[in-house]
Amino acid sequence: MNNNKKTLKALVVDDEEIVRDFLRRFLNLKDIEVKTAEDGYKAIEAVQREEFDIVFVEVRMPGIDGLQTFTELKKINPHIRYVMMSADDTDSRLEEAKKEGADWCFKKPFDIEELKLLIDKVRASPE
Amino acid sequence: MRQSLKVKFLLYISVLIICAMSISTGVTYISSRDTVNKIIMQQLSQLVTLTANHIAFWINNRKQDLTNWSQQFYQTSLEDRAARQSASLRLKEQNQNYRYYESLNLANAQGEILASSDEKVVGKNIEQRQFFKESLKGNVYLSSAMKSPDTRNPVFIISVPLKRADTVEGVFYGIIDIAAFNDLFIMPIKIGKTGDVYVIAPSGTVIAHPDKSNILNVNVNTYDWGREIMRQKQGFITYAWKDIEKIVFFQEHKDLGWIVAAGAGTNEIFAPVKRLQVINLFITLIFIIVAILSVIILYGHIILRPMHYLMDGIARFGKGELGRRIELATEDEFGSLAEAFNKMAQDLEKTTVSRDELVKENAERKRAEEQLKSAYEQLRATEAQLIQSAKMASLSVLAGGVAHEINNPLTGVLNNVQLIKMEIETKKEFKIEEFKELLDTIEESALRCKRITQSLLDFSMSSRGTLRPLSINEVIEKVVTLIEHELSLQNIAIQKDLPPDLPQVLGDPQLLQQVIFDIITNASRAIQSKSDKKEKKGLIAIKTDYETQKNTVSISISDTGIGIPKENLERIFEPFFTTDESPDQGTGLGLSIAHSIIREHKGNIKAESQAGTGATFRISLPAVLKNTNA
Repeated sequence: MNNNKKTLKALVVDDEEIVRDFLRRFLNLKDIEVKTAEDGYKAIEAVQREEFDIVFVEVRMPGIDGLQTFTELKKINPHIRYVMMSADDTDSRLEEAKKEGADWCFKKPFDIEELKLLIDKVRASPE
Repeated sequence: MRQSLKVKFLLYISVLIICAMSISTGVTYISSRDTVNKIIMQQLSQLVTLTANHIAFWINNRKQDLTNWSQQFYQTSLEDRAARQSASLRLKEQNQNYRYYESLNLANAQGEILASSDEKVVGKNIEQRQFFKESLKGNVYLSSAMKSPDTRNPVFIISVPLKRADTVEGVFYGIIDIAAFNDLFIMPIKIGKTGDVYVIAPSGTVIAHPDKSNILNVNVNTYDWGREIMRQKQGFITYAWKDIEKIVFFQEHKDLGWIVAAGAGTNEIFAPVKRLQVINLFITLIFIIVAILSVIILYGHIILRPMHYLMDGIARFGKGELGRRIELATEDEFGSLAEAFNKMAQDLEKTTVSRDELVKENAERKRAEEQLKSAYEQLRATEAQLIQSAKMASLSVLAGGVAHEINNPLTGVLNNVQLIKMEIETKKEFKIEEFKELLDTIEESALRCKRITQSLLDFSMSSRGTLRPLSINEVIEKVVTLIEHELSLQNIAIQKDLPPDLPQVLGDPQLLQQVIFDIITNASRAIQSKSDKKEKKGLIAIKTDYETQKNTVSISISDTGIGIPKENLERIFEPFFTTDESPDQGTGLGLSIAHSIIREHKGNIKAESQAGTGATFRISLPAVLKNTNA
């Protein structure tokens, strides 16, 4: 139902402002419309309210943590591509998220080339 | 011990014997002395009475004699010269028969001596003499003792009246030689060697005495005792005469008016008593010696020997001869003691392990003690290591949070730099404000990284073991930096009330960080245990303060966790004490390490809790005064 020319829409869910800011700038640069949420509740609200092509979720957050947020979001909208992020190299929750059906997993700081590749992939095969 | 017992025993017995003997000797002496005294007095008084009566009787006889003899001259005409001569001859003859008369004399009523056994006095006049005057009145008269005017010998005179019908025609008198009288009555009486009898005239003059030189030459009134005799007339008196003490009985003869006294030397009288006393003492001494010897022998036999057996037996038993028994067949207390000992030994033998085993056991115990000691030393030595290990364990807890804390700002640095490069490549026009904003983010992120890594490094650094003045607030800030994010993920907020003008404390920053860290992680666990609902927020409040009166800096860390049951409040600082049963439970060492660290800082740590409302840990540390500068 979407085509190439359609502007992609992304939601960034992270309690860290630095991360939210960076992803917003980066995605803007890639002509992606970006909304941000600082915790799980706001993310759920946003997904319930509008459509997103891609959602970036930090696995560890205060309040509802990332993994739980992801499961909730997936229940609401299973068609969105979910990208899970973690600042903790040793965190096993990334693997867990993958099993739960996350599309991609990123470790912070991001490998910017991989990010570019990801955007290209999303653009190439919009759901 | 044995010697002293013996000496004590002997001393006691000897004193007892000596006392008994002394009392008996004393009593014997006094009673025998009294008895002798009584007998002597009786004898003396009898002697005096007898002698006095004898003298009186004799003097009466002389009076009678002279009266009888005077009758012869009734028919004689004394005017006749020849008759006078014949009378003188008769008197001389008479005198020779009765030698105690110095002379026998006949005087007429005018006092002229008409006839005398002593021719020399014939013709003399005795008109003025007392005896003459008395007898002329018709009285038989005994004169007092005097020196004879003719011979100067001591004499007394008995005179009788010469009567024809009722008319006194003259006086007949005999002069009695006191020396002869003395020989008759005084000399024959012997009272020992020093005793004597003597006669005192009413004037106090001694008129008869074994020592003739005293006769008429001594007046007893010149002595105290003499005056006493003259005053009392009858009784006992003791006095010294020529250095010899005498006991004297004296009695006045009523008719004669003379006092007869009989005395005995007290030394002489009591000599037998004294001899008896010496014998008594000698016997006592022998008795004491015999008693002491018997005591020694009896002591040795009855006490020392069985005691020796007992002591020997006990000593051998003590050295390990557990089969040792004491063979003592006496029926006394020692026998009972030996029996009791044997009974005890038997019981002991049954229940006691052998001496060898004891020695072995003792050695083992010593070895164990040494091991324990070295273990303790090792424990002390590894305490610092333990603290370090505990810190490392804490770090592993932190790992996720720390990675998070570093990688997020790192994203802000690295990815933002890459983003700028991308923007430069793709965008023609570049907004300078936007660029500056980005640079600020990068800088801020880099600083955050720096702060985290510094805190981490500081925390993981091992203790230098020295105390230096430091700000407790800084210590708390560093720990909070490390743990804050991790806590926020657990929905725990940290509330800090750290006054900036707090005095410094002397401390080891690494150790104090560990303490704060342990208490905060403990608090976070308590909060986690209270509720698994992550939505519900926990709170850890950290507050520091300066207590002026005590000059201490206090740190209080309160949580809203499950709290600590009252019974555990005192135990939470014990090593390995933990109530946390969750899989990521602590080592159980955190609070005990904290306790030990605070104690080394001369501080104090305690916990307060009210069920269900969380717990508060209070630490106080001595403050370094603000004006003291290192």
